[in-house]
Amino acid sequence: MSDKVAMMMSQADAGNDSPEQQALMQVVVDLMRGNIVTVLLGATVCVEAPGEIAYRHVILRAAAAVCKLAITRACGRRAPADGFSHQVVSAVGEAFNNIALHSYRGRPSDIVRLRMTIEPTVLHLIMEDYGAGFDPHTARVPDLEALPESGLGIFIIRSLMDEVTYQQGRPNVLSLSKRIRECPSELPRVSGKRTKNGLLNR
Amino acid sequence: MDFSTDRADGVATLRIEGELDAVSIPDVRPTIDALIAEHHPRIVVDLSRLRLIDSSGVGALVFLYKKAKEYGGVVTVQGLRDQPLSIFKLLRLDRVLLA
Repeated sequence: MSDKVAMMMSQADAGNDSPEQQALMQVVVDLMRGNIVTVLLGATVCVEAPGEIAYRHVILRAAAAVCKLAITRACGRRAPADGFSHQVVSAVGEAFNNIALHSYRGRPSDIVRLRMTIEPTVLHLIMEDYGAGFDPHTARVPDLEALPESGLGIFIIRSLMDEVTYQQGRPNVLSLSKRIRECPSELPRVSGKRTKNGLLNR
Repeated sequence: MDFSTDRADGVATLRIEGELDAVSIPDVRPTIDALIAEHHPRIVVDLSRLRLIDSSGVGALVFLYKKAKEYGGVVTVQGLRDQPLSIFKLLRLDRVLLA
């Protein structure tokens, strides 16, 4: 399965294989193997996988790895999976489900591309697919009192992300942003002045 | 995802480990259907070793809850933590399903 998965790095659409890009790629690969190495910024991590549900874990592992990078950058220390990571992984998982189960339904599946950009206290994620488009802003808000068994994916995405935009086309582009509002409480204190919300100010 | 069931003292327990999502639901769905068909008065879903759940997994558990309720059965979920717990709270299922 893994031989069908392409992982690429690019820096602000520069398109060349700079040493920083190569280093970041190694960071993410190591993170996906469970080995945290270091943190680099200013680049976009791009992961491509077939738009089939069996590849869901590939996209989620990459998202989880980049969440760790983002938290480490914001808090100045390695961090275990926390609320931020859980929320991002949940939203990305629902978005991938929508693509694999709905966007590519009834047609040959193409790729899903996930681009993730780390800023000091924000993680931006862009998911692209080439299937039938579906605007999440047109989805009805589910009646949670009625205990719905379906129709929850878009609600989860919109509830957990700070910003959600969608552009239908070739490809369809779903853009998500999530701010890091606080550091995990179990992190030891590190040197440096912290802002009111606990983020490291460097 | 791994899962197991046992039945003792009038309680059927379904333990699910790992990830309960769109990938794994087809594997566990026949077991959920079987628990419903057996009309157990009390079903406990142990998710203490569940790492990840998505809307598909939630849908399957709500399905189990509703079907059991139809014949007078009770379904409770126990052991939730981390990402699964946050999804249950977001969808306000903690007030209905948590033991």
